[in-house]
Amino acid sequence: MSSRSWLKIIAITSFLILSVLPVAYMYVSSFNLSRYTWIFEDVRQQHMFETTMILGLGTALLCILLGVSIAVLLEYTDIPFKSCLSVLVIVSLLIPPYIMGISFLSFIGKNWVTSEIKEPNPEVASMVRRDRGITNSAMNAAALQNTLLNKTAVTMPPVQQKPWYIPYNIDPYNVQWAIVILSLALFPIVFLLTSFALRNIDERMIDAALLLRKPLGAIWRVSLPMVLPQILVGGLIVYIFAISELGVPSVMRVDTTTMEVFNHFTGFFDISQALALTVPLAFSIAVLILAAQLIIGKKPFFTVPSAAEGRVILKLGKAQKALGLGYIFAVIAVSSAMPLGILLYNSGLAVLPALEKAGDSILNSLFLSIFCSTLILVPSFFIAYFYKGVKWMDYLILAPLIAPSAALGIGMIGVWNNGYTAFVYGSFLVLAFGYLARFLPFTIKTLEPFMAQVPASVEESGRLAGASFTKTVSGILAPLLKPGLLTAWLIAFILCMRELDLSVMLTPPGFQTLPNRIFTLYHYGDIRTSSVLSLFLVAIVVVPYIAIVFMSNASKWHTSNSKK
Amino acid sequence: MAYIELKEVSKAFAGKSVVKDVSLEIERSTVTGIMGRSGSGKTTLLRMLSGLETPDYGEITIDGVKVFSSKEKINVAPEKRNVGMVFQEYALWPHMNAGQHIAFVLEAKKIPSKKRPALIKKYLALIRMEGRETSYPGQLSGGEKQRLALARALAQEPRILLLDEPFSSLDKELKEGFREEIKRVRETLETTILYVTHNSEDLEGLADNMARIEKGKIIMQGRL
Repeated sequence: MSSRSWLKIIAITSFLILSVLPVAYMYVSSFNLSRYTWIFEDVRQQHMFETTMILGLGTALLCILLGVSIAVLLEYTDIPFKSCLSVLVIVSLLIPPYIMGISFLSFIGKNWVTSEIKEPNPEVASMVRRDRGITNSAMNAAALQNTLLNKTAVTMPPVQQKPWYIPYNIDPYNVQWAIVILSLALFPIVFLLTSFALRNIDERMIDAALLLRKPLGAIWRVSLPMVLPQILVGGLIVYIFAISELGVPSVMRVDTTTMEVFNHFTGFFDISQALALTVPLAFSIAVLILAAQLIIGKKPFFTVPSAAEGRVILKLGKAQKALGLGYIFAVIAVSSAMPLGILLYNSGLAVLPALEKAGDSILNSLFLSIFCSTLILVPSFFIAYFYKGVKWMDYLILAPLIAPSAALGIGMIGVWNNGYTAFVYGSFLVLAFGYLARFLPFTIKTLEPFMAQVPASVEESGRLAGASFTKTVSGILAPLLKPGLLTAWLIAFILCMRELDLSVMLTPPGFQTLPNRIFTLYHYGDIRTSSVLSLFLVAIVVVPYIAIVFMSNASKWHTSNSKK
Repeated sequence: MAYIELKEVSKAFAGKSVVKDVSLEIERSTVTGIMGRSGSGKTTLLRMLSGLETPDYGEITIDGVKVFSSKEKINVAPEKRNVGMVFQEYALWPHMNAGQHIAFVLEAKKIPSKKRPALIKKYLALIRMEGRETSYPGQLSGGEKQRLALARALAQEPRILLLDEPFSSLDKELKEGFREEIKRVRETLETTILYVTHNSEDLEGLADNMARIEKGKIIMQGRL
C-alpha cells in the first residue's frame, strides 16, 4: 500500500478512535431505557432542560445580535478606528466565560443581598437542594435566615457590600444574567464569522443592489442573507458552547442539565443516569446541526479571512458615528475592560503568592495546550485533505459536536479507564485525548476553506515532477497552507487553554489545569489568587493571538510590497 | 442637447489618476461602445455614471438633470438615478432565484405585489427564460446567467442601461445570441445603452457610436 493510502487510513482511524468512539461506546454500553423514561417523568429534569434550552438559544440569539451589528458597523461604515476596534472586540473571546461571570459578580458586589450568611459550596449545595427538593428561590430565602446549609457551607472571606455605583438591587443569580455573561464572552465567534464573510462578498453583488436600494436596504436584503450561513454557524457554535458550559451556570447559580450531569457523575458516579441526561441536549444539537446543514448546503462553514478591509457602503453622519462608536465601546467596556479591570483590582497584584500556589497549573496548561494544538494539526490536515468535498464525511466530522462536553468526558473515562489503557486515564494523556476529541471538528472545519483554495493542479504538478506524496505534502501543500495551519493552531490553543468543562471531569492525579485551579480556588473563596491566575490565563491566550495577528499583517505587508 | 453629458470628469484612487478630464456626449436611444485596455478607466467611467463611484471633479448630466457636480456639490444617490447595469461576471445574488431577482427590483420600484408575478413572467419571457422562475444562479448556464442579469437590469425600466464587458466570458455562439438580445431590447424599449469592451470586434454591428479610452483619457470618439 502507498504512503498516501496509509495516511488516509491513519487519519480517519485516529478521528474515529479519538472523537467518535468514546461517545458512541458509552451511549451504547450504558443504555438503560428506564433511565430515559425517568427524565421525561421527572418535572425537575424537564425544568432544568428548559432552562438549558433558554440559556443556549438566548445566548445564541444575543450573540447574533451583538456580533452581526458590530460586524456591519466595522465592515460597511466609515466609523473611525476600525482596525483597532476589530482587534479589541475579539478580546472577550480570549477571556474564559466563567472568569467573566466571576468579574461581573465582583463588579456588582457579589452576595451583597445575602451578605451576612456563609457561602455554600455550590456543588454540595446543588446535591442537597436536589435531595430535599429545594428550589433556587427557596434556598435563597432560607439562606437569608441562615437556617439552612450551615453544615455544608464553606467559610468565605468577608463578603463585599453593595458598591456605591450600583443604584438599585440586582439579583444576578438567574438565567437571564447567565445569558448576558455568556453572550459577552462568546459573541466574537459570530462577529468573526460574519465579518470575514461580509469581506468576501463580491463587491459587484452589492453594487447591483445599491442601484436599486438605499445602503441599509442593500445590506439588509442582499449582504446579510448572503452571509446567513456564517451567521447561523456562529449561532450554532455559540449554542453548543453555551449548553455545554459548566462554569457560568455554576457561578451564576443556574441549574442546568449540564450541571445535573456533572452532579450525577461526581456525586453518585451514576454514569448511566448522567449519560441519559445528556441525550435531550445531544438531540437538540443534532437538530440544529441538521437544520444548519440544510440551510448552508455546500457552502463552507468558515471562510478564509480576506486581507482587504470591508468596503464603505454606509456613510455615517457625525451623530451616527458617535452613536456607533459609543455602542462598540460600551460592548468592549462591558465584555473586556470591565472583567479585566475587576480581576486586576481583586488580584491586589499578589503575583508571587499565586505563582507559589498554582505555578504548576500554569505550566501544566501551557504544556498541554501547546502539545494538543500542535498534535491536532496532523489528523485535521489529513482529514481535511483526503475528504475534501465528501458529503458523508461532513456529517461524520460534525457528529462529535452533538455530544455535550459532559457526555464526552464520561465517554473518555469509559474508554480509557480500562485494563490496557489505564495508563492513559492516569496521566495527562486523558486530558489531551479529550481536548483532541472535542476540538478536532473545529480545526478540520477551519482548514477546509484554506484547503479548497489550493487548486489540485498545484499538487499534481509536484507529483508529475517526481516528488513522493509525503514530499509533495511537506514541500508544497504544507507551506501553501501555512496561514490556515497557523489559524487552526491558534484556535486549538485558545480552546485548550480556556477549557474547563472536560478538565473538571478528566483531571488526573497531580495534573490540574489552570482553568480548573482557578475554578476550584474561586469556589473555596480565594478570590485574590483566582484573580491573579485568571489574568495569567488571559495573558497566555492573548500573547500568541497578537503574535499571530502581527505575523499575518507583516506577511500581508510583505506581499503587497512585493506586488508593487 | 445630449441625453447624457459628462464634462471634465476625473477620478483618482490613492493618488493615482484613473479617469482624467473625460468629456462625452451621448444621444438618447443610441448604443455607445467604449473601448479600452484593462486598467484604462472604462469601468470606472460606467460606475461614475451609475453613481456607484463618486468623481473627484466634473459634472454629469442625464436628460438635462445634473446628477453630479463637484462645483455645486450635487451627488444623486445610485438608487435615484434609474440606471440599470449588467456587471462583469453578472453579480447575481446566490440566495435568490430568478423570480426573486426580478421581484427585488419590482419591490424597489414599489410595484404592488399583486402585479409582480405577471411582470416577472414578462421579463423572463423577454430574455427567453420562461418557466425558470425558481432556478437559482448556481443552476443556470453561463448564457442564462447573463440573460438573467440583463432581465434584472431591464425590470428596472432604466433610462440608461450600462453593460460592463458583456462579451468577455462568452463563447462565439453565446456572444452572438446576447448581441441579438441587446438589439431587441434597444428596439422594443428604446433604452440608451452604454457598454465597455476591450475588443474592437464587439463594437461591430451593435454600436452606433464609439469612444476609445486610454490611460483614463478619451482619445477618440465618433459615429460608426
